Order: sequence, then structure tokens, then C-alpha cells
Amino acid sequence: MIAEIASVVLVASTIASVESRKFIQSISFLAVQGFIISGILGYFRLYESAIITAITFGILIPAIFLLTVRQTHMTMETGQSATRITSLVIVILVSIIVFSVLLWLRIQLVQIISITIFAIGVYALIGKRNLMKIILGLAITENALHFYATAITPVSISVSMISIVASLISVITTALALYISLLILKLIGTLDSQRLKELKW
Amino acid sequence: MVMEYLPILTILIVLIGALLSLVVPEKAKGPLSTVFTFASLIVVLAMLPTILAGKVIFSYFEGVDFSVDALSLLVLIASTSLGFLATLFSLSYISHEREKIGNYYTFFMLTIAGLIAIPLVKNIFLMYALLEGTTWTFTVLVAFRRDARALEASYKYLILSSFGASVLIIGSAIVLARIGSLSALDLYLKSPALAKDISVFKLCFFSFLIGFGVKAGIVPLHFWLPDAHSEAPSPVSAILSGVAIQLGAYCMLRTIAIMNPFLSSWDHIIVLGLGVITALVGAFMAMVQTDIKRMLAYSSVDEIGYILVGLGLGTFAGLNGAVFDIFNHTLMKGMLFLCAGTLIFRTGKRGIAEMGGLSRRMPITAIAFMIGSLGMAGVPPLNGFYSKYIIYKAAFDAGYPIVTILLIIASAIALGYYLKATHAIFFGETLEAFKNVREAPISMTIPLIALSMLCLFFGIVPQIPLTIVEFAVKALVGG
Repeated sequence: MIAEIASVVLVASTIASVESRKFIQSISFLAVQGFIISGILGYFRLYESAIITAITFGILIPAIFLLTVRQTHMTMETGQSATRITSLVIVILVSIIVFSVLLWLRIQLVQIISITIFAIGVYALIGKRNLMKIILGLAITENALHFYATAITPVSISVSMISIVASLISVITTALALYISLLILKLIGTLDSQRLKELKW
Repeated sequence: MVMEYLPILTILIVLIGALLSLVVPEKAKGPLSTVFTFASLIVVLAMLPTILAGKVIFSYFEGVDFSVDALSLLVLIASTSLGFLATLFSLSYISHEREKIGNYYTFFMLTIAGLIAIPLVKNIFLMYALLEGTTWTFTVLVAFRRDARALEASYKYLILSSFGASVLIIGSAIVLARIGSLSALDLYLKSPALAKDISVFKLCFFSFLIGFGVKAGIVPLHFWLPDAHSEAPSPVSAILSGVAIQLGAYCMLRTIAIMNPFLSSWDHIIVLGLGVITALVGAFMAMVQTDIKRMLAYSSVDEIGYILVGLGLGTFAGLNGAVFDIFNHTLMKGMLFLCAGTLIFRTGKRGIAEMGGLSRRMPITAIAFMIGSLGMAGVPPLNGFYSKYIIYKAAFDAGYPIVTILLIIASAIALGYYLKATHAIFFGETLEAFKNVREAPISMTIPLIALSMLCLFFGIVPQIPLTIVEFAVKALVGG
């Protein structure tokens, strides 16, 4: 029962993290999401992965986001997304397909949660216009994939090696992507992806 | 024995070079990098006799096994030689892109070190980690000019490529859970155990196809490719197109080709279909480009299609063609991007229609570009013809004549756009603006001469690389 309640809170905090208008709220919901996932992993006695998840997705990645956002003086998201309905339709279709595949595979709760979070992250990647929100979506999808990968493998030393290296990869990727988006902000003066139209074909 | 330290030595040389390039003065950075990349090429060539004798070099370092078989060596030879020549090319070229070269050479050598390490490790998860590592250094290099276009391209590249490749975590976790090891060799030996549970096996297969497919630039996942290739400095484009995407294909060979006996015919048809679509979309998109580097980038998409078809066929001949095509494409596309760099360096223009009549002014570039483009289109006396011919024949023999026909159409389109580009750039009247254009400096023409010589040589004597290719495919699927 605890796992079910935690998973509902988890999905809600992920959606809140993607949909918040204020960026500080998004970051704090991202941290909450990381800690809940770490709690669920701890509940399943995967202690090493739980600690790694708490450190990377609960502390490190939100901290990097916070440091970057502080330099931009940006609190609100830039405008409404024009492609929101199309991207919602895409996300719903994708999640239906993925869900049916997973039902066919007779999966457990852990996998349903990770797939749901993954779908929300993909929605942020496709549907959001703010460059930093897109990076947030990337972090969420990577978190979901780690969760899935650790949940399906038995406990061993190599698994925690996978966990450590993969977490490190997502931290560095996030930091580098945020740095590039800061450079874009300095050069062009906006973080709106619709304004970046130099390269279309 | 000395031999078993050679694989780790290749990486260490380039890494030490990257570290040294941080501390030496600005002027010495370029020559230093050239020396160190050349040393890595020498070390790789020193491994050639052992491999040709049919042996495999094993070495263990901190619990990770490095091994070199014929397939790894073939990729290593192509990538280290292109790495060395691209570094040599950078000497005169790179100040043209940005006044202050900063840490360009450090990142360039880090990238080459990562790319050398991928064929050496046989661990699927380490392959993913190293591909991600090279993605970071490439992101920095693509953004080298720091203007709006370059930054947009590098942002797109980083996000799309990291997102796609992170799917590989799932594949690695499944392999580890079912087989108990991440080594590609164990995957080969124990794939019957993995294939027992068909749904898990499928998940694994698609994870590898998507994850490595993003890095290789197969069609629904190729959107980062033309932007990153065209906005990067030309030596970086040469490495990106010649080595990095080929390594995506190499990793697919290492994982998917050994799962081959357990794939259903539908899986084969999916890979073949993706290959044909990739080849056709790449060819059609290349035809409509006006920017020379974007045209070359889409031509790389076209070429990945051929490799994917060879992989999807799964037969001995198909894999032969795929491996040989990886080798040839590294040489040809590396040379073509360096030619584009020479043209941009001397004329300052990127549009195909903006140039004209340059063959008299820049004869070496003109000849190299012609050899490269005819090779890419698969014209007989050149090396590109043989790999394509093997793939056509393999597809025909495997009972997919329609695939052969579609690939020949893609090849004909390739001949069309390359001839159009060659004619527009090098023939016709010399424009007034280009009256004073001279041939590029010697450090830029030497790579072009060397690569075009290699293309001609392997075209006239294809038996030499083909022997290693056959060794490689035997090493891959034969034990």
C-alpha cells in the first residue's frame, strides 16, 4: 500500500515539475521526485541504487539547475506552447502503445511507474518551448530509465557500477546542456526554442 | 609481452597528448597534437601483423578487458589515420573559424581518445558510456564558433543524442540480468539463454537498435546529424561523419549482428526497411541541399542506410559489405569534409551555387573532391564501388531483389548530386571574385593527397582490406 501511495505522489510531483509556471517550483518538484524514487528503491531493499539516486537526482541535478537559473533571472516560462495539443496527442498515443506492450509482458507496479514518468518526460521534451524545460524533461526521462533498469536487475556489484556511471553521465549531460543554453541566452537573449530557427532542414 | 600493452597504450598516448596540450603555449598546441595522434596511428599499425596471423590481443586493465580482433583493428586503423590527418588539417584551418583557438586541440584529442577506446572495449555498457563521453566533447567542438547557428546545432545534438542513447541503459540492464555479464563475447556465447524469453529479447534488440541507431543517424533518429555536421569546424565534421557515426554502426554490429540467429524474419525486415528508408531519404535530402556541408551530411545518412542493409541481411556477405563500407566511408567522407573545409578556407563561401570554376585555381582539392564523390556514388575503379557491390549482391542472393533495386536508385541519385556539386564548384567560368584564390597551404593538402591515394589504392587493390574484412566478420560471428 505504501508503494502505491508513493507512486501516486511520484507521478503527481513529476507532472507538477513539468507544468509549473515558476522555475524554482519545477526544480523543487524535481528534487522531490528524486527523493521519492530513492525511497521506493530503498523500500525494495536496493540500498546502493537508492543512495545514488538520492545524491544525483535529489541533490546534484536540482542544484545544477538552481545555479543556472539564478544566473538568468528567469522565473516564468516564455509564453504558451503552440504545439501543445499535437504533442499531447503524440504522448498519449505513445503511452498507449507502450502500456499495451507492457501489459502484454505482464509487468509490475515499478515498471508502470517508470513508464509513466518516462512518458511525462517525453512530453516535456517534445511539447515545451523553454530550452531549460526541455533539459528538465531529459533529466526526468533518464531518471525513469535508471529506475526501470535498477528495478529489473538483481542486486550485484556490476549493477551498482551501472547505476553510478549512468547517473554520472546524466549529471554531466545536464550540466553541459544547461551551459549551452546559457550561452544561447547570452547571445540571442531568449530561451524560446521557437525563436531558434536558423537550421530547419 | 609487449603486445598486450599496445591497446591501452593507444588510448594513453592520445590522453597524455590532450593533457599536455593544456599546459603548452598556444603556438605549440597544434604540432604537439599532430605528433601524438601520429604516434597512436603507429601503435595501431604495430598490432597489424599479430592480427593478420589470426590471433586476438587480450589485455586486462583494472578489471576491464581490452581486446583487439580484426574488426576492432580495421575500425582503429581507419579512425586513427583520419584522426591524425584531421589534426594536421586543423593546423592552418582552425584559426579561420575563430581567432582564439582556446582548448580546441584538448577537446579534439579527448574526442579521438574516446573514439579509439570504443572498438577496444568489448563491454556493451562501456561502449554506451564512451559514446556519451564523445558526445560531450563533440558538443563543445560543434559550438566552437559560438554563433547562433553553432550553438543551436550543438544543443540539438546533445539533447537528441543523449535522449536516444539513454535507452541503452535498459538493454544493458537486461543483458546483465539474464546473462550475468556485459561482455559482447558472453552475449555471443550465451544469447540462446537470452532468446528463451522472446519479449525480453525483443526489448533488448530494440534498445540496441534505437540506442546505437541514434548515434549512427538512421532515419527517424537523424535530425541532429545534418545540423551538427554542417555547423562544426571542418576537421571536426570529418571526424564526426567519418568516425563517430561509423562507430554507432560498429556498436550495432557488435550487438545486433551476434543476436542474428535468434531474430525473426520480421526483425530482419524492420532493419532492412530502416536501411532502405535511410538510404533513400538521405539521397533525396542531399539532392535538394544548397550548402555543401549539409549535402555531405545527408550523404552520410545515405551511406548509413547501406551499412544497415548489410547488417539487416545478417548473411556473411552482407556483414562483409557492411564492415567494408564502414572502412571506406571513413576514408571517403573524411576526405570530402576536408575538401569542403579547404573550399570554405579559401573562398569563404558555403553555398554550392556561389562557387564556380575553381578547378584551375585549386587543382589538388578538385581532384580529391572528384575521387571522393565518385567513390561515394560507387563508380567502379574506386573503393566505394566494391563495398556497395558486395551489399547489392548480398541483398539479391538473400532473396530481397527489391532492396537491391532501391539501393541502386539511391546510388544513382548520389551520382547525380555529386556530379552536380562537382560541376558547380570546380568547372565553368572562374568567377571574378575567385581570380586571386590559391591552392590551400601544404598542411591542408597533404591530408587530401594521402586520403585520395588511399581511396585509389584500395579501389585498385581491394583484396588487401577485404582480407582483413573477412577476418573481421569471422571474428564477429564465427567465434
